[in-house]
Amino acid sequence: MRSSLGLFPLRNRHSGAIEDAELFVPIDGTNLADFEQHWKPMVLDRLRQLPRGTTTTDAQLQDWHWDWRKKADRFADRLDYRSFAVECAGRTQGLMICSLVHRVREPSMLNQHLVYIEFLHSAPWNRWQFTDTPLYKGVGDLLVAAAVSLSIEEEFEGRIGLHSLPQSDDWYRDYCGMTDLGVDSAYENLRYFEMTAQQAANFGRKNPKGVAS
Amino acid sequence: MKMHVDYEWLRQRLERDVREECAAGIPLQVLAHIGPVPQSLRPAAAVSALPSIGALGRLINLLRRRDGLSLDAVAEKAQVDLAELLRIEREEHYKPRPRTIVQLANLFGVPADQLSKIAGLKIAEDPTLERATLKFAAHSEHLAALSKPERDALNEYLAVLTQGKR
Repeated sequence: MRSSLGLFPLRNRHSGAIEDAELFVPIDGTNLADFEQHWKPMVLDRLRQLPRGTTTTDAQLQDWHWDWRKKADRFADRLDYRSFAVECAGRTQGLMICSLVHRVREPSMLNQHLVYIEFLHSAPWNRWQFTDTPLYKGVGDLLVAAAVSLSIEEEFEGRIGLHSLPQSDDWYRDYCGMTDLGVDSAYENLRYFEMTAQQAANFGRKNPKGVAS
Repeated sequence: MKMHVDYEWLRQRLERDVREECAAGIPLQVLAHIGPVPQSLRPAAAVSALPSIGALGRLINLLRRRDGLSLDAVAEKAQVDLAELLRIEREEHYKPRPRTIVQLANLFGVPADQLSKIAGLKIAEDPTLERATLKFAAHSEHLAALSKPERDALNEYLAVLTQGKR
């Protein structure tokens, strides 16, 4: 059954105001309907505006082997997967699916368990890639914090891993303080990042030193 | 699970002048291109839910009055948002959040699964429930106190809801 993990603030960039968002586990049909009805049209519209040759090709799509139906049972609260949704102003603002079966690649903790983020996305209207005036800020922070919290709850000490999309490399490296383990040729040449237990502790600390306000 | 950060933590993060770019894993462009979300994963309202006839609002209204509770009291006891409770009772087409339905079901002792179907959040594949919902919606009125016909209609409908759960 879906449950709320609490209320958290998001910054409405249009008004400048703080608004309360609710974090849920797991993703449910309402979130998928939002994806279908609101996220998807905006993404596809944006893709249609791009010059030919820069859009995702059929061949690229096949490489990902993704299928909602195959993943469906994993949205439920199974032992090896967890999914999260951020809702604010009556809409799904962010989605994340995590796997618990991956292991650490970083040498100092090699093969220890971690929470692997299979995908993490803020809604397209919150993203610079899709609009010049993105709406909410804070969705990424909240979802990464959820992954770290899950890792702590699973006694993985806050360790998480993910493949960052190119535009997000700096955000994970510099803002979240994760270790960049380089390009992964086995995963679409995306860069692979891990957060160690110590980095997770720093991430969750209020007013951490060394990070400009 | 519980979160290991709090509201203030995120509020402080929001103060930082950082351009948020957080996309990870499978690109959104890929997810958007891959076939539609299957109907079995969608909320029933998007497919073929029970007819939207305001049955949920009427049911909650009658249950509340049966138990002699004000809107404020229900909101507090069920830990649901008062504004959302008002919309449930007053707006025929309003679709509440799943959590709200579960909280209300627990408060009034109604199966959450069945209440979700009435709310249009789950697919209802139960002709008995559909007939009972139509009949209930057609016969119940928003009155200050429950009349005997209303009470009978409510009890009859509750019997179907409970039976459907077995």
